[in-house]
Amino acid sequence: MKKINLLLIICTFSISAFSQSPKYLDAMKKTLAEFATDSTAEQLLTVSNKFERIALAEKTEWLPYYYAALTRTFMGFLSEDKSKVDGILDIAQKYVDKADSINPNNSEIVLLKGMVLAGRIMVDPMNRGMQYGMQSGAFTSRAMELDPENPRTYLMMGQSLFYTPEQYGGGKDKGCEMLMTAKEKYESFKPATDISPDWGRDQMMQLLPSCNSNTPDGKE
Amino acid sequence: MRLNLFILSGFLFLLLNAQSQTIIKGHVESNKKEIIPGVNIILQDSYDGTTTDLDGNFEFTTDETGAFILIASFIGYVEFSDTLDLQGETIELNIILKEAFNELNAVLITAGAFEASDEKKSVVFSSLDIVTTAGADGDIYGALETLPGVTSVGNDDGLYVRGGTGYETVTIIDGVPVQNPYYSTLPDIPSRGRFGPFLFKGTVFSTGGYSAEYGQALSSAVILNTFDMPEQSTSAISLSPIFASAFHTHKFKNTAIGAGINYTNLSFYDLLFKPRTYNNIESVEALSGNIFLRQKTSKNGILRLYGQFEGTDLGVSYPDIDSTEENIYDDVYLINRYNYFNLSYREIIAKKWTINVGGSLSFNKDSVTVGGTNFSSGNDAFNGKLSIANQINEKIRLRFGAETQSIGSIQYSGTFTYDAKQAYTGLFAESDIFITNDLAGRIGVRSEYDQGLDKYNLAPRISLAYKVGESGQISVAYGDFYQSPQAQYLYVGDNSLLTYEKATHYIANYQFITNDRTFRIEAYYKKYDDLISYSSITNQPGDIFNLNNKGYGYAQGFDIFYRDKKTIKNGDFWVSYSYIDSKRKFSYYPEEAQPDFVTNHILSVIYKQYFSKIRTQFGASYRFNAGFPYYDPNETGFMTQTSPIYNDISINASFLTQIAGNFTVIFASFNNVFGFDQIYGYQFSYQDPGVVFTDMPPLKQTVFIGMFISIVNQSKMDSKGLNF
Repeated sequence: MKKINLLLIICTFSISAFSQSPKYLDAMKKTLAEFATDSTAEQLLTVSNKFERIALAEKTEWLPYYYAALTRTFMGFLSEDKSKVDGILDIAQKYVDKADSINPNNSEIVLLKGMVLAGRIMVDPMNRGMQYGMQSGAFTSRAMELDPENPRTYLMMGQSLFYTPEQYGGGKDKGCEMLMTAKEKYESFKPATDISPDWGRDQMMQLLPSCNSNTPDGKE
Repeated sequence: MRLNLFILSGFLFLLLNAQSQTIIKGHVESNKKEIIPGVNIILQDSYDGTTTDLDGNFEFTTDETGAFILIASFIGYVEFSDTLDLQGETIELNIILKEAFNELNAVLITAGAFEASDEKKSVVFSSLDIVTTAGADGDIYGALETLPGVTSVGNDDGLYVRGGTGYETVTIIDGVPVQNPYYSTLPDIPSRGRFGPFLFKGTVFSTGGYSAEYGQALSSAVILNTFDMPEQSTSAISLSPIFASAFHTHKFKNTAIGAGINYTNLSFYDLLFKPRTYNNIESVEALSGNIFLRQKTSKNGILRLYGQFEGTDLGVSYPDIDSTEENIYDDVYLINRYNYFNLSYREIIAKKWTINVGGSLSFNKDSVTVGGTNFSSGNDAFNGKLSIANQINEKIRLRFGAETQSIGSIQYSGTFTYDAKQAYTGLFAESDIFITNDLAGRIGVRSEYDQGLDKYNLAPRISLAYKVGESGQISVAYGDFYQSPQAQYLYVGDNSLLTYEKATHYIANYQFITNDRTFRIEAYYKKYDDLISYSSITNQPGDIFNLNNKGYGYAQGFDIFYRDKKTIKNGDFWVSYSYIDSKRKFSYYPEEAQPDFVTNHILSVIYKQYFSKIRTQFGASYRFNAGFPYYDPNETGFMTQTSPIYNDISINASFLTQIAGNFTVIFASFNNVFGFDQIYGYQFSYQDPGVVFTDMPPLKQTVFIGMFISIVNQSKMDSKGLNF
């Protein structure tokens, strides 16, 4: 029994000593590639589970936690059963908080915190919109302050303004303006490493065409 | 040594990698034998693992050898873990995941209660509904009248719940009961709640079987909770031809202060519309102010102070049906002064203990003169409450505390002066127990001692709830409820000869709640004992003699509620139906009879539709009741006549716009669109039973327009992008 314990300790030691190992990078890259191509909720769960497994083995790395949280957040957005959203986002919340404790004041992580809250609004927009909307917006602004070159902060803010009625300070015009800034920021953006956050171009490209359409919505 | 270990570990690592592969496969299901797809199967400290497929099966290969912990994890279930010895031989596992306890998904104790909240996930009724319900006119009580079990009793104030009278409903703000929660008014002039709906973050409306935390109410409790810290500084202005108000809140880091002023003057209204049942001699004029303070005392601690100060003046001339001469009018003037303070403090100590302490003071004075004679009345009240909650573990919560109340009341009646002192102390203890995720119980007991009566009471309360399927549940509740006699009886009676009025509730409820649809049906039986009863020569309230506690009665029936936010796009509607069968011998009633505030059938339909293109919400409401009993001295028997059936259709609209960049709502409402005759009953002259007064709304139809402007720092709003 003692022998097994010793072996366990040694194994754990060896794994952490080899972090940022080719094995870690390889696993992350493979999972990110799956993330980029998979789109159904089911596939997203499989990918999220993979990130979760890597995160649990690499407890000092923020990226696996970040992606585990990001994928869960997307699952929350995609979920058709609103009553399940809070449960999914609770897990996202747990992992984004872990990522934040490993790497505080990171623009990507702070932005993701705001996205989790935005997801919660969908459960009950009438009642949660006011409070969570403001808190979520505050996280997005903070993320932009932390890294003004992070294109995803402009994407999220643009998206939020796009869908917020004018009388609440949003509107299509303001949203589109912000999305154009996001587009510029994406053009000059280079992720720090192969596995650093580099998502959002698709979402932006989906929204931009409706900015150029000739049917101004929400205008007087 | 350190280096050696490092080399050794590296060596071992390589060694382990060189070992043969192990196949791990199996099946996952829940303790309820349900297949669970999507479970994360994790071989701890390796990247290896997989996700269960649609049949709950999994299979993966690992290069690891030796002792490893395998974890199976999925939302809503307790994590499974087991140590495996990986030696290259295929391992097969049958994993059973146990459902985790989760309060949000667990059964709710709901028999008797409707909850309106801005925070909870599934709400039957939200705070916003109160201001957008046609016919409710932004009044909390008006909106609650659209729920089943509540009778809208025309010109009388108070919520009449399931065969109970108005005084059987208690209003509680931040845990403390409130005296005089309705504006003072004169006979036949409808009143409304003193407290605006925007003060509160949540409302629990209980039509019976409520918590042992609340007492001194036989039928119902309206539990209002005020906001904690505001999100930001805001200002708001409301304007209408008869009303102006302004409010400002300033938020500092851990403190928020606010103040508001309201002015109402119905002169303009009275020029346009002439009441049917009386003449206006002095239009309603009211001035009120309020203040509030919120102070964060620690991460979880908060101190809340609220104060409201009001003055209302009005004068009305009524036809005197009891006069022996014709066309005699009595001039009645009312001057009301009302001050209310509420201070409460909440703190979480030692993680699992929450302490709530609060107190309120209220001063109410109604200076009434009838033809120059003084009929003034007033009461000063103090309420204090301490409650302590302990989350013993995730499945058991204990709550206990103490409450005290003292009220001094005074009444002038021409040359006589009456006064009464009421004081009571109450203790309560209650526990919420989740036996499983699907079965929960609330068991409580409350005991009170009333000094004037010099008597104790002991009230047990029990609720059980059982979840059927994912969205349905069955609840039952039983409880005893006591209430001390009203001040008006203490003026003339000997307190120590009287005792508590008592009601016993039995409730069974089924409800089905999904995100967008709610259905509930609730059956009840309520037994009344020891009701205050007296003799009256005229068979009318007032001349009290032979006061006793020998009254009794019952109310039984069922309520149905259905709300749907899904079927109609951008639309929302709810339907309430109540059937009540009730008889009582109480008050001046000479025999057991269906009371004049009970109608057998009540139907109410509320519909709201939002048109995003024109940013306008339209609302409509329909109400029906089957008519109220009344006593006609020209007929034999007591309360044998029934007033005509009542119909009402009201509409409203709210238009969302901007004025100088500030969020603005312009609203309009029109009550009783089709001008139905809405007769509540008839009163007969004591002198000459041939003289009849028809009890009906003073105005057949009412129209209202107004606007509400919310001023928030605009630059902040832009950068934050409100997601509303």
